[in-house]
Amino acid sequence: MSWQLVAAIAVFAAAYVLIATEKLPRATVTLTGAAVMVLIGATGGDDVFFSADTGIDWNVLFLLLGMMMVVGIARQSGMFEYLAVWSAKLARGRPFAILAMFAVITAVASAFLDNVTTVLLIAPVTLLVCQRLAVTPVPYLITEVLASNIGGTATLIGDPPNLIVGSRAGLGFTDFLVALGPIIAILLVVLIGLAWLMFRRQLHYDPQRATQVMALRQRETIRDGRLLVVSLSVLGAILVGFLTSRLTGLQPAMVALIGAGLLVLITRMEPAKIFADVEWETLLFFAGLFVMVGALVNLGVIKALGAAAAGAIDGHWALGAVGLLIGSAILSGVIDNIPYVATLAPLTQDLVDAGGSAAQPLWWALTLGADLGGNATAIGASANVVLLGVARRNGHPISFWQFTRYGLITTAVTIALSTAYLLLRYYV
Amino acid sequence: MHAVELAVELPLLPRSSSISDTFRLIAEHDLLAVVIIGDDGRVEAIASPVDITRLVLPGYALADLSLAGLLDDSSLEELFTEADARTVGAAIDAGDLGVRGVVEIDADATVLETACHMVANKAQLVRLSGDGTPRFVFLSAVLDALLAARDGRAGRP
Repeated sequence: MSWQLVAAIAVFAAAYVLIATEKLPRATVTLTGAAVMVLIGATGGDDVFFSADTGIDWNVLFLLLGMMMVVGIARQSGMFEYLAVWSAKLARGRPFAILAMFAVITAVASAFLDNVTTVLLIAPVTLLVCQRLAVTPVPYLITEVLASNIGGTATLIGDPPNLIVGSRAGLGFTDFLVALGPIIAILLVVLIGLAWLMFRRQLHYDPQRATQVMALRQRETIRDGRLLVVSLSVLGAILVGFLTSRLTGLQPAMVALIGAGLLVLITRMEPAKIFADVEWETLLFFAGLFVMVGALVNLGVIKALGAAAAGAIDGHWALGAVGLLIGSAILSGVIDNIPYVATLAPLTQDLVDAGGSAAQPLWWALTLGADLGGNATAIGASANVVLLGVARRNGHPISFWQFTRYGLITTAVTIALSTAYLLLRYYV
Repeated sequence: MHAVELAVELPLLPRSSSISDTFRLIAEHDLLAVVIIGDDGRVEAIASPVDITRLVLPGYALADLSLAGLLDDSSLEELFTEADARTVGAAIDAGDLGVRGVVEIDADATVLETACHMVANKAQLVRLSGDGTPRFVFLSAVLDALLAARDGRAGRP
């Protein structure tokens, strides 16, 4: 083994540890790691900027940028809050019905928005409704973040790992929806059933408090009627753009950027407001990560691992898919699923190239495992960490183990069902 | 003229003061801030009206202003009941109040220098650096001093 290979693996492992332990900002870690990879000659300028296989994945970066801009503008209209309050009233102020409604809204929104954004949108309105109902918001918040991670699995843009898989595998918005939509719908129904079993004793119905929810006037949440109409129109157009991207030849990143541009043009919002919700640190984190993984690909590490994995699978692709699904779920429960998928994506590509159509479902195994595994622990996904912070700041702290207890149950059930789905749909 | 000549002291409150009592004190006396001191007399927090009002208002409405439109007077009793039960000390321990964020300035800073710092930081008051009882300079005092200095140079009455 050359010194270069040893150094590259050591840098990569150290970066993983630093990301997992959050000792340093994660963008700092990956950008420093990328710089070291360049300095030791594991990758170079041409690879970093221009290679589709070993460089920065611009599709992912620009799709994220476009959607961050769109969501940042659209969220200011108050449409999400309107929908949530309307649904709480539709549920007649009944605590469990509201929990189920909020779970569905969160899951559907998460399929199109970043999970962290969705949680930040639903949590405040949940706290308001729970205060009116005089019930603890903890069951609601936990169910919502679980629903968010489940819903985000359904589409190309629902969760960052999906973007990486989609870009690497050449899978589009419709591919994700067709392959994963059915199981995600099932898992959402199952989650609501689990929530009933886990939380029903904490959801006491008080008719008097319910009238306080019914008294809420959802129209008050709309801060800008014109912005609401424009945002809905552009979001609809973006959705059509995603669904027809194969016909039009417009890549999802282009659709998102055109949608963002359109929204900027029509709303004439100040640039400072437009870019306020763009998470530049996340974009740089991705850029550094792609360079680090690209370096390992350059040095043949990923190919060697892929060959070893292909040898172990030995043509038993169904077994391979189950192993990848469960392994990804376990690992994603404890480490960030973005670097995990960024590392596994080129390896999975090697396996799919070797196994052909029989190995194609490995992409779905990786996506389901990495996304759903994030529910397992309080630190399994960024949305979980953010939600726990919101709960604590609002006087309803949720401990690591309190969350993880419910998260583990949900993950075990959803992964078991996903395994059955994968086998039945693709291998029986 | 220098900052030290404009400096005044602010009311000192113990950690055990409730949020609502602090709110009431600020409102009734139009205070720009109060100083929260620990049992040992050390300054633990400098709380402005915005800081204290933030502790009374529901966090969800501050996190999402779209929800602010749903609040009406019927929520007041519940909010003040919570503010009655919580002390400023608890807010300090939770990191909701502190001394950080208050601009400090040297006692010998000129009035114009003080004004620059206040404008740059959008601050209504600044704290004089140094140990001992904390002393503060208000923006209104700075404006008065600047006008007086200008009038003095121009020979106006």
